[in-house]
Amino acid sequence: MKLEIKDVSYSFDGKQNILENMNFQVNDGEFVTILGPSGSGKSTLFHLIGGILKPDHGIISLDGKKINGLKGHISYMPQQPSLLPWRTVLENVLLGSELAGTRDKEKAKNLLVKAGLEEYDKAYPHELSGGMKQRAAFIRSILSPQDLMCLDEPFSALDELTRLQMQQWLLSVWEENRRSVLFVTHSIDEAVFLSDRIYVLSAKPAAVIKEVKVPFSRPRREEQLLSDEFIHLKRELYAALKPTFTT
Amino acid sequence: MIGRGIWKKGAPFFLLLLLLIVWESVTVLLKVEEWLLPAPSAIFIEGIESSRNLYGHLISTTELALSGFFIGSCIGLLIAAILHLFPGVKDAVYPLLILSQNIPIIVLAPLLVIWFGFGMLPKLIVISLVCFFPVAVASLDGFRQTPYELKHYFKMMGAGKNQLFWKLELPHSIPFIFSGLKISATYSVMGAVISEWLGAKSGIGVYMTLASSAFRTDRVFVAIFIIMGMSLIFFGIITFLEKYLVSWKRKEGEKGEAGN
Repeated sequence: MKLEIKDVSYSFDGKQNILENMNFQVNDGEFVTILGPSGSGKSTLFHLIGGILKPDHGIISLDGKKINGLKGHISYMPQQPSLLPWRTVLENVLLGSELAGTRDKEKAKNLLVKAGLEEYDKAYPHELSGGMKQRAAFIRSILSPQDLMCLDEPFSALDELTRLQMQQWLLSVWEENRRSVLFVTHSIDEAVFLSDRIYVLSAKPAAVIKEVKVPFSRPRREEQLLSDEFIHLKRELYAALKPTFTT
Repeated sequence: MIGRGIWKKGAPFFLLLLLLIVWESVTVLLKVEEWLLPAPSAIFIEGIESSRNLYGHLISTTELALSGFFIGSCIGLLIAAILHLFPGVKDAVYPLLILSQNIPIIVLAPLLVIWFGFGMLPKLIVISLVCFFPVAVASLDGFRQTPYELKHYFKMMGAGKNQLFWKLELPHSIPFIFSGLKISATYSVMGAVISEWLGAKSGIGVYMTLASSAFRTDRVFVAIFIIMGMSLIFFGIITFLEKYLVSWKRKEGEKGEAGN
């Protein structure tokens, strides 16, 4: 088991819980998605895993080791690309590994080719489109040496078409490496298309209210998005999410 | 369009030229005494005639201004870094920094001479005191205004305080630091001249004092123009360095303008 969240609770003021008795796991090489409405404490969950915040209660463990409040154990991809404007694309994608003390320029160049950014290695971030920036940010998190990748709604700022392309591209890259991924989103389609397993969160306080296994084989294909099974799964997830909208 | 371009670039020059023409005509038409207000042409001629004498003064003032500017800027940057990295220190020291700028240099300078004599040290202290402040304030702003999302990424990746400073906050604040350096560069010339008034063997300040006590108003104006010229050149050098070092920012701006 890669990541285990056990009975984790957290509150900002000690009174109202943001997360309440949260339980879930991510296995080795598994793509797990946390699906929840906006404001359901998904970001707080990531801050806890990243070690910026410390849970009031419960255990966060990675490879069986407790990492409550410890930083530097995950590779992170934020909502905004967060590329440094004074660094070239190549220097930017190396940043994550640089912070961990392992720079591999050759590997970075190879991955940039995969992202279709090979001609932009010396360009600055402002010269890239939104999708290209997110691809660079994803490459950066792949190059970071930590085993678990945490992706925090990485495509939420992109338009629908770019988003679909990005999802397919992300899967094509991920399927070669098969790192453990914890992905956060509020899009049902995205969750079903990408993941092996999905946890549905309730809103305020956030807790896991449903766990769904996605039965589709890999590599995933676009046609699966229109299959009956997909629609059925979508309906099931929607039904689980619906009560959370009212709050 | 071309006419407008020339106007935009040349406007300050044309305005200056106009002012000089008005000045020249007034002194001629009203027959103003030379020791009261010399004509620009007389100042120019005097400048040419005493250029050999001026050269030595110019060199020593430049040396003084440059070394004072360098020391002051380094101190400013260092202070900003310390205050930023130790917020507790900042609360105590920041108000004192502002107070340091309220000390009238004219009063402080003679005191420094009493304490440290007529050598380089009191002069460098005066210039540094003037120069460190803009750099310190600008860098501090730069450190503080580092975008939240970038800081957040660094923290989530487990970056320590050191990495955060050297890889994020310092590079981010370089454009800010340059704004401070530009102000300091122009101040440094004034600081050098004032410190030379205290007593120096040579320098534009010395030349100026001698000229004014001899009622050589034309020479005083020569000194004023030299000071202005030096400030402009210093400013220009810093701007050039900025363009070279912060090229990513410039390109970003151009793109933004094109989009509008």
